[in-house]
Amino acid sequence: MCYNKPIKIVLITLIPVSIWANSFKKNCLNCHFQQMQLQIFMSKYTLKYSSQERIEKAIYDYIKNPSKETSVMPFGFLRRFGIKEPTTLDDIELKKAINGYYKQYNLKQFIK
Amino acid sequence: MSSAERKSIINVLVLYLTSTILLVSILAYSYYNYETEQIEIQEKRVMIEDAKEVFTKIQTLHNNQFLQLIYPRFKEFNSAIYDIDKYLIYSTINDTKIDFSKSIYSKDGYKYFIYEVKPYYLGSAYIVIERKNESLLTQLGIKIIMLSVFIIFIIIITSIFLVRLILKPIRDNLNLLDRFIKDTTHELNTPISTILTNIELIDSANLDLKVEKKFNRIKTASLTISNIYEDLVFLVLNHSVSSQNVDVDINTIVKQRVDYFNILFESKNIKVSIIENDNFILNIDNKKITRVIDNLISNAIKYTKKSTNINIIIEKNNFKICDQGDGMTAMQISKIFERYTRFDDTQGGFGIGYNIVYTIVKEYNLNIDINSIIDEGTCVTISQ
Repeated sequence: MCYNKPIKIVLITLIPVSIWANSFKKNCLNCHFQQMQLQIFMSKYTLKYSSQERIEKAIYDYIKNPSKETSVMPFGFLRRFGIKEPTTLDDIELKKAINGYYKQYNLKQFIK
Repeated sequence: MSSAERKSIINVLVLYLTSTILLVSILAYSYYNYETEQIEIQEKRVMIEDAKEVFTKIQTLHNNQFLQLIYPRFKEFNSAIYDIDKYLIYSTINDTKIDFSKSIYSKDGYKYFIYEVKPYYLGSAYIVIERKNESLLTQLGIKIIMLSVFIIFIIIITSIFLVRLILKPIRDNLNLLDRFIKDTTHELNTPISTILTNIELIDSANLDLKVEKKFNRIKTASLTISNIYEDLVFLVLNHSVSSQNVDVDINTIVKQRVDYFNILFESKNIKVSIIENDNFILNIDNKKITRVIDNLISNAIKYTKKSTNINIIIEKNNFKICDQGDGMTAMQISKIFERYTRFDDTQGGFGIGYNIVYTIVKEYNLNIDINSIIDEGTCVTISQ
């Protein structure tokens, strides 16, 4: 039927987004439940790495191999919360989660 | 203004103006380049200030992002921010196709300036400023062109004045000469008429050989004087006497004039051949064509070598007088029609013969053609 076609398109577009968003919720929000904290992370990554590709790569590298040197957070923050453990997620799942995080928190979308 | 004077003015003007225009162009070009550079530096400075203003605003936005992220907008210019991979973050510019290979460029009446920044507030690594081209360069170009035209105009006026000033002594001399000729002609009228009338009255048949020889010399000399006198009269009265044009048979008039100059031919042992291939009829004032033929024949007599031939060839539409003289160079031929031009000081005359011929020939739209070979001779052709 003709009127089914737009619905299919919307579903096809939304399914991957929701998958990435789900992956982010499922794997990240358990610990990073404070929205402001996630905004601060994004703000720091944006300030240092600028583009989506570089931000996602920097987050990926940090989560895979966290260290004081590769962290974007200030010394005080690291002293208080410490360095996180390396992720146990596989690469695909991790990339989906990072992408979901970027899509939800990138600054670009809020500029008016 | 005589043609020689006009020529001198034109020559000086061309030379003076070419060099001046060249100089003015170089100066204008250098000035334009210098001013362009200054304008560009000034524009760049203004756009750097714009970019810094945008940077400060986005820095504030980034640091207070928990409030609303409202991109700064300005009246005087538009701006856009791009991330490090040159993807657009936000823009108030209409044209988003930015050329990142240049730091400053113009497109469609707008000037674009790309300013690199770090750290990347709101992710922006490049701030692009768009300002309307204020057409300062066009205004400058118009200003320079107008100034150059004004300078060149002043130089033209100055050079004409200068040339006239330089030529004034020459012009005064020529006027003096003209006045002298006029006065002389007036004074010569009576004595020449008396000499010529009395010569005609003397019966040469009754003279003995010795006296006849002397008498012939006097006749030759008086003929020459008469010819010069006629030239001077033409020169003085040409403008005040109206032409009476009739159909003149050139063949007849040539024969008459050759006959008239016969004694001069004999004095240099010159043989004259008139070759009549056809009849040439010309509608012209009788006195004027006589001046043309007399001058051409008398010049041929003057410059041909002793014991040579003068050939006069008459065709349907032209006649030609050829001597066997020293000939002339192309340079001499180019100057021959100028008044008071003489190439050989050993021969008499004022240097007005060819000038008179040229004046008459031009008046009747005839053509005059001079072919000359050095050491062989000269042929002058008058054609319709």
